[in-house]
Amino acid sequence: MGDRDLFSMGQRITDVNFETVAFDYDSFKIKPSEVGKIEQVAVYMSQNRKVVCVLEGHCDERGSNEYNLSLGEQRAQAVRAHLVGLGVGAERLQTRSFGEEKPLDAGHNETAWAKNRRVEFALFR
Amino acid sequence: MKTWQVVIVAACLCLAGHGNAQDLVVTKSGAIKTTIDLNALGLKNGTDPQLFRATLAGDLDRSGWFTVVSDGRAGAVAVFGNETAAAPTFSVQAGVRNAQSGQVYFNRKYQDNGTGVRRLAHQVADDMVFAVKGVRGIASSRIVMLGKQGISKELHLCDADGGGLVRLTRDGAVALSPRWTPDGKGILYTSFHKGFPDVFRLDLTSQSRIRVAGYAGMNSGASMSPDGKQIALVLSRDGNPELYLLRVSDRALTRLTRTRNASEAGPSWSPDGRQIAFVSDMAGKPHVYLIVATGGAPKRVTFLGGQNVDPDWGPDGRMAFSSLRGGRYQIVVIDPASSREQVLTNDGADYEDPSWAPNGRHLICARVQSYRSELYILDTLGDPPVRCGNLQGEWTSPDWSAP
Repeated sequence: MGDRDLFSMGQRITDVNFETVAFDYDSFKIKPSEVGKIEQVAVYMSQNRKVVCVLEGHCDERGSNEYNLSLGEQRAQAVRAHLVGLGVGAERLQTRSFGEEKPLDAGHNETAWAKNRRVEFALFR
Repeated sequence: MKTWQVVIVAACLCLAGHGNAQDLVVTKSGAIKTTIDLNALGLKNGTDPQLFRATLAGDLDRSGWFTVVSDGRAGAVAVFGNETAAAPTFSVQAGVRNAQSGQVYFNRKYQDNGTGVRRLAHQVADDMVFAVKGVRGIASSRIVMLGKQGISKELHLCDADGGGLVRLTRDGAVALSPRWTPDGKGILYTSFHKGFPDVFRLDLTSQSRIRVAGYAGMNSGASMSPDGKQIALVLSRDGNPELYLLRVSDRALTRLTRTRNASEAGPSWSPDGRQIAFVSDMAGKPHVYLIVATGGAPKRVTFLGGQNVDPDWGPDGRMAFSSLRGGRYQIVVIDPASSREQVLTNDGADYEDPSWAPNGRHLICARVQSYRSELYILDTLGDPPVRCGNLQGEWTSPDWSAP
């Protein structure tokens, strides 16, 4: 996946969805509760060899936009490293951080923030 | 804190220069000012002359050095002059004199050469500040910032008074971290308009832009060295966000940090171009570090506060950053040599993303209250925060031009 043009990655797969990986505030550590979600993606990718995946990292709205972009990237990279550890080829995995710019929940409370601290799996064929 | 205020007052008195002690007024709260009036500025009625007068008066007030008195009252110094030609080549002869001694600080002819009456007034205001106070004005400087439009953020430009708003991008995408190039002719910024966060350089003269960095992963936080030869930026091409230098001439990359388990962000160059301040969470929480631009071990410079982010190194060597204290982000200024701190804000709002004015006295930042962000100007000599102009909408990430 040397080419970073999203449109050259093929067709976005919309009929397969994986649960997002959740993170603690200001952390990129993968929690034990989240490991199973990543393993499911690893299994799917081992069974679908032509599928590539963009790992999209996100943060809650608190703090510096610029630092949050880095933190979102670090979260995506942490999931990427975990998938590689499970045998998924690194060349099939790309990271894309949105920082705090694409919240899932527009609320300004801990429930919304917890939902927004996440890594999403965008699959392409 | 008390001692610090005394030092500031003493500094103001020294800087007051030509003014006599009785000509100085202390406003309700804040820095010491010299009174100035525009009674002897003879301008015709009409749109251009009145826009010129209003812009000049506003600029002198915002300079931080003057209080403009009106209603025929006399100030310690007086603006004098008259209109010598009408639009399209609106021209004025303008000067400033000491009301008591009659000493003329300067007297000059100005003509609008196509940039407009407002820019002309900004130039006159800066010349007046320099002539009377011997310091650099800010009226002619400009601010680049992000304006929220739905889910996208577009680059905008305005004058230091918030007027002259121009929209620079129409990408329908999120942009981040705009920063002026040191020559004031271009803007480096991060944009998602091609899908991934890449760094672009917008040339304001030609209105063209080029992609500066589009490596795998994240490309962000670009900041050009004072000599224009290198760009400090954060890339994740080697596996996680790290600080790099990109040489402008041949795009050669030098990696400066190696923090496998930490993220870097937000580089800012020292005025002499020898050091770079940046954010890293290598100690668990984001703090400000310094690194020599030729490489070496990062040195931590912030220890107070839960988080310290968005450092901006000012023209006189002081550094501003946003610090999480008591649950709010406050703007703090430190002298990296002495580590002495000055906290500029404490009104219950969050203040983020500070950027120094070219005068080394004022800063612009985003003030967030009730989840709405507006631009505010802060004063290190004690004037209270003021909203930047009358900008409507939601604004973030301001960067003040160097020239």
